[in-house]
Amino acid sequence: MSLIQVKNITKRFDDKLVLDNISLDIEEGNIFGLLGPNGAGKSTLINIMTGLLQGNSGDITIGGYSFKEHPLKVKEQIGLVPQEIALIESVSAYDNLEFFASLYGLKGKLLKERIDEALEITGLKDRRKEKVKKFSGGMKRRLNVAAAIMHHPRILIMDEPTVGVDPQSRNHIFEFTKRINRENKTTIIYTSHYMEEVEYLCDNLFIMDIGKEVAYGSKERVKAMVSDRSRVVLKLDNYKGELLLKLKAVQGVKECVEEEGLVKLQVVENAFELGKLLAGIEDYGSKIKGITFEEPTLEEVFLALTGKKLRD
Amino acid sequence: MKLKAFIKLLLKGMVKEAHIYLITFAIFPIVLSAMYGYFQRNLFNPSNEMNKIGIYIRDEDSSSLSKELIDFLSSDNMKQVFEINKGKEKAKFEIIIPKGYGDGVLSSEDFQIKVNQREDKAKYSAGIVSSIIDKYNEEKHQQLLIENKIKKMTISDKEKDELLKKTKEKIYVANGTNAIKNDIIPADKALTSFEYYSVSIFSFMFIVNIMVLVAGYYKEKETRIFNRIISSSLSKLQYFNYSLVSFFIFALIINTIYILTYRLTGLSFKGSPMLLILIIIAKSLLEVSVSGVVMAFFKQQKHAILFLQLFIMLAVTLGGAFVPMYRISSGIILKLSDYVPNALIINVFKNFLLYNSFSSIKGYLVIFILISIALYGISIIKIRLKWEG
Repeated sequence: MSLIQVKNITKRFDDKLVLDNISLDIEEGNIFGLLGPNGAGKSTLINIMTGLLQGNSGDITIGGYSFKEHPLKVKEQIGLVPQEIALIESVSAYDNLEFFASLYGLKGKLLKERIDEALEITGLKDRRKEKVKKFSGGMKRRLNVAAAIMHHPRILIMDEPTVGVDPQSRNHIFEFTKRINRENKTTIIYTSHYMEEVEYLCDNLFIMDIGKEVAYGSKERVKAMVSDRSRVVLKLDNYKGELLLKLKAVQGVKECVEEEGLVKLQVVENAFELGKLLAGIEDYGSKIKGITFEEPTLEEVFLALTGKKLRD
Repeated sequence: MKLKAFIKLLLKGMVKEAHIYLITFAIFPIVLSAMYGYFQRNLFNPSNEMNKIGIYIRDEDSSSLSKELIDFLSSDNMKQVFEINKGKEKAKFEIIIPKGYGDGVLSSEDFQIKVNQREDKAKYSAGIVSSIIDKYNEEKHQQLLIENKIKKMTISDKEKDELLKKTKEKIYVANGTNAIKNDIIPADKALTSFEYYSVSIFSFMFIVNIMVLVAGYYKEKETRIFNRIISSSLSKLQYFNYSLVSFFIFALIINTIYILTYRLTGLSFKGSPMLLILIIIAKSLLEVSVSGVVMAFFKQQKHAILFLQLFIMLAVTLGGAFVPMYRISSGIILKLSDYVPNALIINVFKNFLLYNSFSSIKGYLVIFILISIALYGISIIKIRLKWEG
């Protein structure tokens, strides 16, 4: 049985349908990407998974416990890293961690150990006594993560954890995510606007738009949904704009653009013939200095599936 | 344990931001009210001046003893306390000396002099009138007993006359104005200007405290600390209750800081510390229960602010800020004006400062507690039905 089972969740805000019969399973130890543009319903789904909202229908089962019947049993298995920096700024980092850890019933020696561990993992041990309001944005982000992991949750929900983060802190969060997943077998649900993050971290994906499932499965499977599209990148010598028009007319070429001195073609694999493309270039009198074939990126997959960019 | 975490965090936050709390909730309001008190000090009655109580006397007994009582109430000494009215229309009280009064005093049987209060707001004066008459009757009864015993004594008539004279003089002194003033009429003390404004500003701080408490909740929501807490193994009802307990401690500390600082200056809130603690607890409870209702019913801060602004307007209007309440003829509005929070707070503190007795504040304390329980009950029902999602 999967660790997380989301069954037919529907949520309406008044007349607006924001989640339309969403179902998905997440296996233990997965890093699971939840993708969608603004308004797709990701946050609503996370809010239902963490007990902030109630769905109008459907149920979520985590670790064998139904949310409807045992909400506290479900919630004690979850750690939430909210999209916003949800910290009390007027007190120290240590005080914040002590408070949030206590909400999970940690106390005494174990509480202190877990706080130290979280500070160590997030690289904030030296700043433990400082008021959070004096922290940089990146440090706050890291403390935001630390506050969610002290009870060693089976599931860590990271809702856009790298928004507004400097590269150093971003890498720190990546490393941490991989490490906690590898060492503790923590299942991670990761939402992000940055496709490269999801591509780097996640094993499985759930892509949604306007409250509906668009694609769901392993990264490879989702990419395979648009496998008929790939990209050919050419480095050419001695050509003009009219060559681009000629190449666009070649059978199987969907798009042809020039970017940073390279000619990039979007092709439909079933219809595309490389020989005809090369012949066309030769006839024009240009020389091929390099050629590469690329799989579609998740960004392109998303575009192909939803017709919009992730950050629309 | 989880509640302890809430309280611990609150206290740490308060200690770390102590300077802000001191300035906002002690120094600023105290300086403001003390300034008002200082500049208005001449407009307030000195505490040793007494307002005369208008009485009308109806003698249904027409005995020598009832006439003696009327003479006593009309005596020069009593003129400092009472003003005898010819008609009952102008009088605050109608005193009815019942038939059989004279015999009752002689035999110490149960008789009832009726003191009819003719104005709603004169209940403490009613206590004074009753106390004076009771004291007089008691002394009169003692005097008659002594006289009877003296008359039965086997001494000369001259000695009896002298003894009777001395006894009467002593009783006269006991019933004199000063004795009555000291023993019976502490109630007629007036507030000093500092006391008046310390209470007025404190009643205004009622709404300020609610706003601060409610703002804390909406800030938790805005910064998603609320989301994080709710995602932990804590139910929404637990969160609500723990928040209210924290709010209560916050309000208790803030109110105590104000009162204590004022008390230390010696300008106001002198009197029994136990009574003060009871009032502070009751006021804090009311503040927290109003905050709880706002939290339970208003999802968005802008709606909560709108509600609180209406609440302030209503409270201030019923408190007589725009129209003097004595000009209002509607009984319902007048009754309501007695129960607006500002009025309740002002009255409970006034009574504390004037009478310094539990009996003078217990009615208000009960009202505070009943309103708080009712508001908390309403909030809990709302939370259980649907709250935040």
